[in-house]
Amino acid sequence: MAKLKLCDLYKDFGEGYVVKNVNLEVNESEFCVLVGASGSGKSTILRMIAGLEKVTNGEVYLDGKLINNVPPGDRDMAMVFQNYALYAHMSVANNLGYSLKIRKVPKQDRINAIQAVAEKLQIEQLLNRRPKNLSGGERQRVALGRAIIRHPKVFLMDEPLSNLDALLRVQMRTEILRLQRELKTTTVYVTHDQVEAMSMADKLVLLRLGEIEQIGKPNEIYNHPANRYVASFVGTPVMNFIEPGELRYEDGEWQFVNIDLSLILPEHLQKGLTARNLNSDTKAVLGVRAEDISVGTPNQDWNKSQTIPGQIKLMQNLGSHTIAFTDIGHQLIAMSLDPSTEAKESDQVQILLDLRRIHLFDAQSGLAINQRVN
Amino acid sequence: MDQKSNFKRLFGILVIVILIMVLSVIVLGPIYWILLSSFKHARELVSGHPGLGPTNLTLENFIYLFQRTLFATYLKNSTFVTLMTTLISVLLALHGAYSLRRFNFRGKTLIERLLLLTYMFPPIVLIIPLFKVLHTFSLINNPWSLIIVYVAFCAPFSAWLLESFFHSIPLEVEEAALMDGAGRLRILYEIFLPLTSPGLLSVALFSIIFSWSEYMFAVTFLMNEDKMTLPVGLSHFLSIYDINWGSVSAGAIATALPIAILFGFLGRIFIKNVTQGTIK
Repeated sequence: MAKLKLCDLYKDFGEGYVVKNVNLEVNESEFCVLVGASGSGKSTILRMIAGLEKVTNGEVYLDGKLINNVPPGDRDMAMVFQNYALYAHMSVANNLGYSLKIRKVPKQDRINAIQAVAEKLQIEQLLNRRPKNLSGGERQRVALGRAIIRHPKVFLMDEPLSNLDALLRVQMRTEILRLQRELKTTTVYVTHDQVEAMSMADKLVLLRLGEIEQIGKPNEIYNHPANRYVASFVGTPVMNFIEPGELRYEDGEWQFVNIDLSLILPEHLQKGLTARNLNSDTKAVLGVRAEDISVGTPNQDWNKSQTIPGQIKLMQNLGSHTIAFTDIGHQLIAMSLDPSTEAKESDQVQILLDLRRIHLFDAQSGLAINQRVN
Repeated sequence: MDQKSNFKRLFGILVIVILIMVLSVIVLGPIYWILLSSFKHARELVSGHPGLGPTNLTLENFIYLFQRTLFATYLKNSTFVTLMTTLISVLLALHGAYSLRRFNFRGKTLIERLLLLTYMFPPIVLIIPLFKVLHTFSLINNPWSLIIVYVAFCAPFSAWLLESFFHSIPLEVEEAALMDGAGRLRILYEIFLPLTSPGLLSVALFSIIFSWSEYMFAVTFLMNEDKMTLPVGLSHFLSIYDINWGSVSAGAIATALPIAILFGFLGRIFIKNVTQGTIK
């Protein structure tokens, strides 16, 4: 178990910074996931932790010890790569035992360790095979085995599941989590898949263009996104944004006003906005998740001033729920419906936003203006 | 209709077979003739009516070759020069290619381009400057003169070829080894070497064939008969006064045989690698 700390980390490959001002602490036994689109610098950060990439500026600490100049092999970290990076000319057993051989572990201890890891990962029957005779899932298990065999202080995983097919990916996700919980090894995991990130992370770090946008527990980030980018990155379907709009203070009440709708904001937002001393007519974007929208028939007994009329354009049945799309003005809005819904495509409906769960973002900076209650 | 197209097809095959036979005679004919001559009596070869078939075969040419000429010395010299050239070339190419593939340093691109520069000049242009340089270091008439020059010819191309083989090894494999705690040399010998052994074999074969059959530098840099390599030694069997066709043929066969056997064993791998290199 180890504690990892990154202080003011910068990386420049000669064409400007690809990682900027990254400060992060990964606690003992924590499963930390770095997530972001491609080019967000997540793999570069991981490689700097591993020592495979030189740090341009800043410090990497392991258990309080500065390790910027420690070679990768001496950091006591193990890495799992996206393409597995197995040694093609060695058997599975030798792949697993290579790091122990380098560390001059006696042969019998090596054999015992290989056997133990193979049992743990259920690959005993593969020990004599070469990597080319293994399936993708089996290769990934061997790569994991190679990482856990020497009980490193930190696991580093660089998109380890992205070469697997969807079903296997879900299986291996569970397996990696199970292993990590069992071994209690501090882990830094890189992925571009927000579902993977949400489902695995103790601590989620969302990156964009080399900078950290938000750090938090997955549900914190989901429920309280710090800005519009985070809000749109996390969650499926993507959060709906209603724009352009403005926050108007009229008759002692804050409203969100848009060409298509005018909503009186709920009480918790009223207080917050007043406390913030905002100007009336501040340009803003309203964000609402698909599951926070209700759909009713046109004659449903709802407060008409708070509903929006619309027509269902398209429906996608996902089994556990159905996604329906409608237009508000020129914007396509996704709504999550119960699969037993009787609504059909081209039905006229009225839409009700759960105002307690909406998000407001500054139209210019994208920063969250006020956050919703749970 | 069917019969007509069948006939056309058969005719096409016939033409191809005849063409192949003609080509085979052109290519294999001389080899067959040399092989046959090496086993015939010298008298029969100059009689004006030598038989085309394998009749009256004898080993006397080979016995003469090894007992009465310096052929065994040439063989020994050639073997030494070839082995040393191959060993040094492969070692240089291996380390050079690895450095070029994995390290970034000033002038790397320039060096990569210079690698093939040696091959832009016809060797004959280089022969006088090389002679002068070797003479300065008193290396004329010394097998090391050939080894140095052959290495200069083989190593750059070999490094270039090996580098392209190294490209097929993903960077992550090396990084995985670094994480496992391996040093650079260990990675080179324990990971790269086994993974590119077909490439190394190709490179070795290239050096062997080049240094075994090279004539021009050998005839220029070596003076004494006991220092000569096979191609030069064999050429001494031909003089303006006397040509002993039997021993010339036997010498040619005995010279070609080791390479032919080696190629028979390794050729498949070599050809496979050449095509593999082009696709990747």
